Amino acid sequence: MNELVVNNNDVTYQGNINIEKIEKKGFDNSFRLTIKGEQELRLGFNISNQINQKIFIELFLTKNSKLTIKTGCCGCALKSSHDATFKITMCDGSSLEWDKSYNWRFIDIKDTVYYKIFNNTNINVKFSGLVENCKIKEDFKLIVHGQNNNIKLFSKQILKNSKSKIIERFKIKGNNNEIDSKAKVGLESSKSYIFMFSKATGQYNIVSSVCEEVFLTEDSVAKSLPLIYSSHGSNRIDHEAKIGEIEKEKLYYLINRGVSLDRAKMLII
Amino acid sequence: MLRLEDYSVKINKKTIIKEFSYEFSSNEVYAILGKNGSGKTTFLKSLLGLPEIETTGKLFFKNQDITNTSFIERSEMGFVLIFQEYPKFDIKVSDLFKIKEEYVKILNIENLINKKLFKEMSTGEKKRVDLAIALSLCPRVLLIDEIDSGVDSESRSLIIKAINRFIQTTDEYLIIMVSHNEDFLSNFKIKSYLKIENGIIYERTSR
Repeated sequence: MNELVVNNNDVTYQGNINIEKIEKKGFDNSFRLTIKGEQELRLGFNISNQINQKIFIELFLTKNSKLTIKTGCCGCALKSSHDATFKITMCDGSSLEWDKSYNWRFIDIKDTVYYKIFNNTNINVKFSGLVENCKIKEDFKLIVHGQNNNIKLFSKQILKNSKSKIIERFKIKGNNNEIDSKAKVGLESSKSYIFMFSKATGQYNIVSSVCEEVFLTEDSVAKSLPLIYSSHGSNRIDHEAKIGEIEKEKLYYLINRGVSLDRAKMLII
Repeated sequence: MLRLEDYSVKINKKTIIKEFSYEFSSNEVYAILGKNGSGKTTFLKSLLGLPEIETTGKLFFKNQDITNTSFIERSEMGFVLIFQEYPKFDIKVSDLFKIKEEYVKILNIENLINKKLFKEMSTGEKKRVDLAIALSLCPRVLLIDEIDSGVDSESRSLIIKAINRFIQTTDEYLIIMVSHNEDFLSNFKIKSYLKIENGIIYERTSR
């Protein structure tokens, strides 16, 4: 198991993935990881002190490589910030499984992920987190240069007294690609904004995006804005927006069976 | 163990139960009877403290006034309701709940705990799984709403066995059970039969 842990601004790494420290303007710690063969990577981010954590990680997945990432983020530190930027290059035939869970309180968070995708890749990314008294921005930019890629992105946030922005931008230049993206936000005295932009200039691409905002309290505000552009009639681009309330029967059931309120919300939304 | 004083229940401004005063003793099983729509389920839900159900009067649990406690607080005190509906979740039963081995065996759910919660299960299977989850929590006040309805005879006998096992092995409990089926209720030592009629709850003197 490869492990990269950022504890406040102290970085430790162990494992056999080729890692090199690089210079990136504006970031305290910047690394490039080159993935060959089949690898698992555990990434941990922790903030407990009053600091601004800025990290840049470049992942280069070589031809036919496979990477599984488990990311755990946590922190509770007033007037602190966490800014993580990932630049991911997916060479032909590579595959990425990424499961990220986070639990932030009293921190400003900015997560940016840029994907550069070539041919025959598989991507399955799940981000889910509990956020309390935070300002959070998740920015995903995905450029598909090649063909026959299968991409699934899922982002789930439970917000409490927080503000959230989710920005997703897909540019598909190649043909026969499939992108399935879902963003779900549960709002408790919070504000959320979701922007989804899908642009296909290739042919025979399928893009499906769904954003769902669930009100846990009435004093929440949700906005979503989809933008769709296709230069060819063979592309199929769908967007679905849902706004609703949490299913109370599910919530009652889980809580009465000993599940914590936060976990119950995560399971339902 | 559970004392109600002038306890009334309203839902959507409609009175369901009028000024009921009663004391439920510990380590006893009580049966609630009544026609469909008489308010049996609403009464159980009110004891659990569900927010959409309005109550007036007083409710005491072990001599402590819990009238103004929330549904979450009552759940933490050990109030557990076996609901009639089973919501579905995308998580395996065994990943979410720690079920006591003895109930897994008694209720014959070894194969079901690896399924997603209440997905691809028959009514009898759902009720057996949920009962095992509920009993594993060691409830203090167990509210059971028509657990026998819609289940086959095999599931019914397993359910009876599990509830009686819980009764035999638990130091302090109270069970309030709603059922239309007096044959089912006859499998338990019922302290009192309470009947709801036109918003009034009264103790029935004979079966």
